[in-house]
Amino acid sequence: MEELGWLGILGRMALRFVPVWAGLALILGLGWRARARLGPAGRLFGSWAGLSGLTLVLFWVLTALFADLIATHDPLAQLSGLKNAVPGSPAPGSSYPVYLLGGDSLARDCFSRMVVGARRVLAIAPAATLCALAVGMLLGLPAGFVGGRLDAALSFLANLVLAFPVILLFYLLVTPEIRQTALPRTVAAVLFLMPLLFLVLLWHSRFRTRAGPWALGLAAILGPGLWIWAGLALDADPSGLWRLEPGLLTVFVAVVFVNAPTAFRIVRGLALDLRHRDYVAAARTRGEGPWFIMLWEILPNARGPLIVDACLRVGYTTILLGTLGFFGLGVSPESPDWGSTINDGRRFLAIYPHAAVVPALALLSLVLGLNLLADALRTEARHD
Amino acid sequence: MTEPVLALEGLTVRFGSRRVVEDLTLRIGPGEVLGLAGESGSGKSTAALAILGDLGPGGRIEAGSLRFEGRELRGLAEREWRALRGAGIALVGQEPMAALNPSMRVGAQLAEVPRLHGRASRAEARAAARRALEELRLPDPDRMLAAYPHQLSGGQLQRIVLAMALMAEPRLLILDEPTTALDVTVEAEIMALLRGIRRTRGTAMLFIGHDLALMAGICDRLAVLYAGRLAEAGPVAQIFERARHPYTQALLAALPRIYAARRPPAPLPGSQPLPQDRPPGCAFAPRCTHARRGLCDRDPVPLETVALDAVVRCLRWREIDGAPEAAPALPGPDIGGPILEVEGLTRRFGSGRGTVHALQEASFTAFEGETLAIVGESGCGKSTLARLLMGLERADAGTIRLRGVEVQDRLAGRRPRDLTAAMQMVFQNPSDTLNPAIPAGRQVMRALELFQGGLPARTLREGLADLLGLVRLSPALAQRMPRALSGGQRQRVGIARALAGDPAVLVADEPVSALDASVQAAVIGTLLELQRTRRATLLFISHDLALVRQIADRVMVLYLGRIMEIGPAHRIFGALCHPYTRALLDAAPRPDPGAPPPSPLSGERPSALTPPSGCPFHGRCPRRAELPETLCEDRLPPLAEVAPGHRIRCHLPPERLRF
Repeated sequence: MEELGWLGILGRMALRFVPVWAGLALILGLGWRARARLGPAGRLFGSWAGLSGLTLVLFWVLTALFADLIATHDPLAQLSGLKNAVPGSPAPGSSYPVYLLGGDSLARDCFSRMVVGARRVLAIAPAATLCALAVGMLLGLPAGFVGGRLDAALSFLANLVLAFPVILLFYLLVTPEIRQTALPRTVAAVLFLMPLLFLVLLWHSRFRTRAGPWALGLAAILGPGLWIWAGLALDADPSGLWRLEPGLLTVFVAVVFVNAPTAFRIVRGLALDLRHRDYVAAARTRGEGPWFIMLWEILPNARGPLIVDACLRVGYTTILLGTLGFFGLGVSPESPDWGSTINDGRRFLAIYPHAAVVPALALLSLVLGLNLLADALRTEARHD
Repeated sequence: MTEPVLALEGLTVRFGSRRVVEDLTLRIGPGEVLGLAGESGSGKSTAALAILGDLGPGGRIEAGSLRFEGRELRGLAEREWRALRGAGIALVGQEPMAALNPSMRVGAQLAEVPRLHGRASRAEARAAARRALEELRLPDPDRMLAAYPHQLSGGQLQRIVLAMALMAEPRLLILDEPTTALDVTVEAEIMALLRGIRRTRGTAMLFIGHDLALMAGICDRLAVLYAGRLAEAGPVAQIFERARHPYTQALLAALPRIYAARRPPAPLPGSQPLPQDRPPGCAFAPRCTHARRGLCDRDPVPLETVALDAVVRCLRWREIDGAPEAAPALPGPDIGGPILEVEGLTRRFGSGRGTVHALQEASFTAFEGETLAIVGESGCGKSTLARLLMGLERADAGTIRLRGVEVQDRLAGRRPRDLTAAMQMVFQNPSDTLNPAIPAGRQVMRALELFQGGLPARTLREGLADLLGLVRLSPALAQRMPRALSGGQRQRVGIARALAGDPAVLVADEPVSALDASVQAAVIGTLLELQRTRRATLLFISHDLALVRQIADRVMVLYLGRIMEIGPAHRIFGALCHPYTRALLDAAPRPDPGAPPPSPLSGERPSALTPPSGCPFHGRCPRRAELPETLCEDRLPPLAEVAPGHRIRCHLPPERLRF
């Protein structure tokens, strides 16, 4: 088999992405039909930016989901003779006859690494964002709602973290001396507890007057919650289902740590504005507790800006993960995540650009999609 | 016949697919004041914008003509519009704060007008600005010219905006609800100024508003707009004497009348349809008691000329009797023992520049089953009092006893459940009283859950249906989000929510001031009916004396944080009252074109930051001269009992306070 031209490469790639196309068609088609009932989310279909942002993001989500079906090779397998192979090089004797986007400096398939890398990126970035938002909400809501000294103390803390250079913080977190201490695990334990605490407070404040649903809900939250928490943060899951490799844990902690203060500031600002509304006063005069007011009266009205922020933040976190990977921080050297791959490829950038350009384009398109989506959501929220 | 200043002929304005104004025909003659009345959403502000050529990107004039001094304005280029605005047609809007640039001194903003229109020199412009302020009787014009907008009061700002509009000597002045944001005494002052301008300058005016009583005092002719169409137009005296359109009749019946018997304003069911929901026939037919099926709901109703200079858009105006049914008079209250006792309640706010005394040593008792109205201008402490009662703020001194239990030290959330349920509040702002993110029914349900805790879900659901029925809302509305409800409906949901715990005391902080007149009457009716049937005490906070006159059993008047007077409504409105209460009564507009204009109160309200010594009212009191030299400045008069249950804080002896 001879080397493929660009037309052939694109054609074959399009064929590999068939599950993604099918998924896109299904989701966008259903969404289009139901757009009138979806509220602001439905109006995304009416704007060019919203639709393209949604398509780009969905494309990568589906790619991550179907990565096993799409990838042509094992992302770690090396094929002799295909070191730095140009895109479209034949790969005889392997699971697929061609290296669609060429090989990297270790003769691994760039296409498959990009596809499998999407899974890595899309698992960590949204999870880290959610964690950071949970921290931001749990601290930002009381800071904004109660105000006074609590606000001053928490805001000072947030500013302290924000004033610290991010890259330096990362380097500190991944230096072996620090990694050997219990610090990352402790911080992880605290940070991972936040989403759990958030859910518990959410349920408790709403159902404290009704014993039945209260107990049922708390059991449903705490059971699996503590299990996952023990597995991820303490590496103490007996079944071994939930665990994070130490390197990834550090990266995760670092990303949440730098994201939390900005999330805190947004939530605090929103709470500060919303706490003077009449419906908050109405809730107070009927004897609601502070957490009910914060989580059930204020938070739902802050969700618009928070969703927009979450979209932007996932993009930002993706770049951050790329940067970390680029510096070789945290993730294992073999990892196919986009940041590390760009770093690996940059050494031969002048001669064999494809190894670095492929993941770079992937990163760019995902972040672009997230930003477009956030922009469109913001516009819609303003119309509401 | 002289050329009209403004003539609209079949004007139709469209925003996207919605016709906001349809077939509007109006004429304003030289020196004439035309009132354009309508409730929110009737298209009256859109009409004003169309006359100014400022509809914005979404709107366009679809049909009709728009002539100013004989010149067709439709299709004018933007450059020609700019030359016309200000010098030809000027606008004074509702929010003076929004009309002025907050980062520019008042003088610089005023001086821009002659610089732009008359190409005056800098010094000439300054002098013109100063003259303009003097003409509008603004005290200390030099200080005003040097001030930034935020340093001035709402009344002063509105006068500055008026001065600015008059500086270019426009031939037509459009006033879009110019006094809505102002207190009643300030409103009377602005209206007196407008009457003066009309007399001295002869400027033609288009007065847009929703308050017919206010418009009766200034307009020559009145045009009533409903759902984008003219319902009726004619000379103002004729309309007040014999309105032909049922909508105008209903609006007039819904007007609280300050010197009328004690009866609530007549309600008008339903609310005005949105432009996209307007019915095919007469837009008012669904709410009209005179509407005939098969007649009123078929074809668009044409405008009919019924008398010289009078038109009406109604098919049945000949058959309709001019007087709509009045609401039945209120039955006498069934008043029980004291339920809420307030003693020496004081609230101070510390700020960098000093202490604001929001409320000083307020003492009063509210009895079971009565309506106690709390009246005063903005900043008098009435909202602070409500917040203190509800435990939203902590009092600096004094006691609040609810059912004999002291609650002043327990903030909301710390009070026992039965006391929380016993006193509930209805809030002012319909757009803010319900949480916009939660379906309306669930918000009432939550209150039920809290107050009737432990009941099975089915009982609670029945309770919700009962409550919604009580406030005359269909149960289907429970599923709706607040933004899908009208202002009146939202206020009703707010009332239902407050009733969930079967309260003994209902604190209503201006519950209808943001609603349209026709809706206002219906919400008031609901509130009163509930209060009577449930024997709850209603603390009705309001600035609208006419309304208070019609519903209150007792009245409490606050000024600068002090109780100036408290007593039975029939005595205060009928026998004798404090000079301040009298001033408030005199300033209230009367829904009668023949009545003498309300007399404004002179002087600016002092700042609560630097309250006057002695009697807080002495600086503005019209009867100050009747007392010896410095008595009012030196000594705070006691709240002395002049009759059983009637206390007045004034140095004048009661016999001299009679009407």
